Amino acid sequence: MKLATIGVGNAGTKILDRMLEFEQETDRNLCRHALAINTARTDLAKPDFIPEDRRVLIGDTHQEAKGHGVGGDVDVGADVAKTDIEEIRRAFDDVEIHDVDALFVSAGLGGGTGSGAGPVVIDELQKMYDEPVYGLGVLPGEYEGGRPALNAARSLQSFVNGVDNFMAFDNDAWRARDQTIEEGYDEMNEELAKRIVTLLAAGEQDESDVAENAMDSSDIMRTLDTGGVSSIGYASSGVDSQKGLLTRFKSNGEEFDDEASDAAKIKGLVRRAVNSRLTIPGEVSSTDRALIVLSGPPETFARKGLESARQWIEQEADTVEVLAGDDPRPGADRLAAVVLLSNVTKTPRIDEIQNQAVDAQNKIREQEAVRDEEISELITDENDELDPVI
Amino acid sequence: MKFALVGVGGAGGRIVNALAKVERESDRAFTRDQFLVFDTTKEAFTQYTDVPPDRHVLVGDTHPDIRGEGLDGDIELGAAVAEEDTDEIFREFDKLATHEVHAVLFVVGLAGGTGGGVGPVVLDGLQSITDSPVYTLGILPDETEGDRAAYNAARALQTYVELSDNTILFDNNAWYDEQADGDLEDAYQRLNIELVTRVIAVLAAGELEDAPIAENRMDASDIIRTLEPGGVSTLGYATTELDRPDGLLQRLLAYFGNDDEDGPVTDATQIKELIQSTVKTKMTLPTDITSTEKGLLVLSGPRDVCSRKGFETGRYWLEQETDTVEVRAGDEPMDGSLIAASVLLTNVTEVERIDEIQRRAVAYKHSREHDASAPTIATDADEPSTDVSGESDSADDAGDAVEADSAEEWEPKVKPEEQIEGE
Repeated sequence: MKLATIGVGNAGTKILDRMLEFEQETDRNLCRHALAINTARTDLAKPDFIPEDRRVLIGDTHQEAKGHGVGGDVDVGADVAKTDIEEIRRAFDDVEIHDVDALFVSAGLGGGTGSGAGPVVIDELQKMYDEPVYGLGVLPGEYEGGRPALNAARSLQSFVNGVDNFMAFDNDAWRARDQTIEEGYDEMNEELAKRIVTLLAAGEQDESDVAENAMDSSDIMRTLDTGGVSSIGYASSGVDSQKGLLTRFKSNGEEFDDEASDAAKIKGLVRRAVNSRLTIPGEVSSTDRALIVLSGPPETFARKGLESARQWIEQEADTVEVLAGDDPRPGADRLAAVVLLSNVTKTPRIDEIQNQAVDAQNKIREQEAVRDEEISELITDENDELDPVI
Repeated sequence: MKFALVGVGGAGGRIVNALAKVERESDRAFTRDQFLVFDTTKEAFTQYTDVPPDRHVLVGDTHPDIRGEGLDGDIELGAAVAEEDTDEIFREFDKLATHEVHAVLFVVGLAGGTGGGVGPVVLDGLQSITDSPVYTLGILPDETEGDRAAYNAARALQTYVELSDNTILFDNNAWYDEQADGDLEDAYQRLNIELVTRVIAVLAAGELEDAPIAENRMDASDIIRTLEPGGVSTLGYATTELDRPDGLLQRLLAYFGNDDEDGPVTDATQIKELIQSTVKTKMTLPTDITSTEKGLLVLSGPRDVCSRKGFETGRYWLEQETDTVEVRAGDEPMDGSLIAASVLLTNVTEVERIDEIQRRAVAYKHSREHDASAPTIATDADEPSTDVSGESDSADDAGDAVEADSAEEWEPKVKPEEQIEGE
């Protein structure tokens, strides 16, 4: 697939930057256009791979933002993007839309910019183009607190309504120990970038090394075309390149044996991809459609393995819409399986975030309701005998 | 955040001066050289050596009752004098380019005639000329400063909270220890350093020049949103020294032959405990933290060793402990072996010290009314000697009247060790 990509806000921009890094390292060419949009000038200086002239500061003239962020306020984030919508539109002037299959917007949903400006950008893209718009959203962890949960619960509705598919990433499921502030979310972002790029870049080499069972961009788009929330699983294993080469020169009987073990290995890899950490934990049985991409050196592919893995997911997900295909990467040192579970409707984390958000909203309203009265009580004496100076 | 600094009266002027000095001597740029200090005595300006002379404004120099000699703690007179000079005060505002900063920090002592009386008039004018939020940084008097100081402070507090977008308070009573510090005047420097450290750590977070970009920078919008509820706010601060091979503690340990410890990275617990101690130790205004509306946490230190998990769990703890849903957090990369956690808790509404000041103010008001109706009574225990003697203080700031109060009002305060420090 070929994408025009937009990172909105701090988290969205960082993820996009890691995606560009990963595709460069692995010689993929998924993101044909990359754009960063932010409300904080300083954060726009961070990316390593997004070109400087592809970074757009919005809200620098907005009374409440002035180029120094929106302070985690989703409404200000949305307002800033609406105000500067012309600037955002202009940034797409040089996007050759016929060169891309889809548009892709990444954002964090806990802050103010990604959660607020993200949906505005998506709406505009939907108006401007016929191509599908996919969203990638990072959901805040429980420990991030009430306000981010409220932002995320509200923004999730706008995102899912606006995009053709919403790929979710749950910070809670991926929270790691032993990291410093400098490393920050880098490791998580790298893992996420690996999954997204491996999945969506499948089939981009259509013209070159055509595999017998090659994944096609249209298969991926068909699987994504559910309008719901998706989760992505991933597993990989090292490739013994020596063995891969030897297999071909061996006698028929031995090759059959090797193929059998390769098939088992592939099925095992796919099972591991689904059973390991999904980008957002969800019940596989609640999945609408699924897709498996096997990416690695073509000599390691085993058609039988992929087919039996496909059947296994068909059963697990209780759906007949499971597509599977190869993404040949000659010379790759790992064989990876990516599984896309499209429109997963049972995701406990989303329920939890919604509950936390309702509590937060109630708390905020309670505080606002008594605010003036409590301040007045604090600054005046019991019987109101003291007067202000002026 | 970048902010202009306006100080009124002795306490305000000294703190503005201290902030200006820190900015000049460090690589932190937070004011863009925008200062103004207002005072009612000519001598006061000799203290403000780090504020350029063209930013010194003498108020009331032509007023027949003061002629540049101060107000002697009279806030009514202070307000009246300032009202007469409003044209001049407005002219001075032209020296501030408030559109170049995110906010204005208005610094005053609440108990003095200038800080408590002239200050509100200046603040009122300032609010009318700027769209930026104006925050008051106010000093509450020590109890040894007397009844009138409490009376002034209680009244000025009402005015400042009404007129400011937020009022951050520092309570001299919590921080000044007569036995350890000697005269309050001698303690100013120490108290101001404590306060200035906290103000800069929170409000000037992220304004280090040439520093690497923080993972999660504290933007001006984050600070403004946190202060948005208005009301009264308080600051907390704690530091810890890193056990890293090149850290000061480690070098000292090695020097004394005890170098068997080698943990170069902080663990989550150490960072969490550091964050906890910002509110468990003395805050600028001691308060019941569960009455907080919003909070803000800044963790400053070498970011290659600070545990992210500790930062996150510490922030979460703070949110739970203050019973709020909005505690914003940011980090600030800083070299060295010191890690500092700073906290701003906004709109705290349960503050015992404020109630105490109000009770004392009411008692003072009653005694004055009593005096007025029965002037023959010669001695009144509640009346501070400054006022009855008419003793003239060169600076009218409340703090300078410390010796005026009677000895029996003094009670020693036990000071807990308020910071975790490795040194």
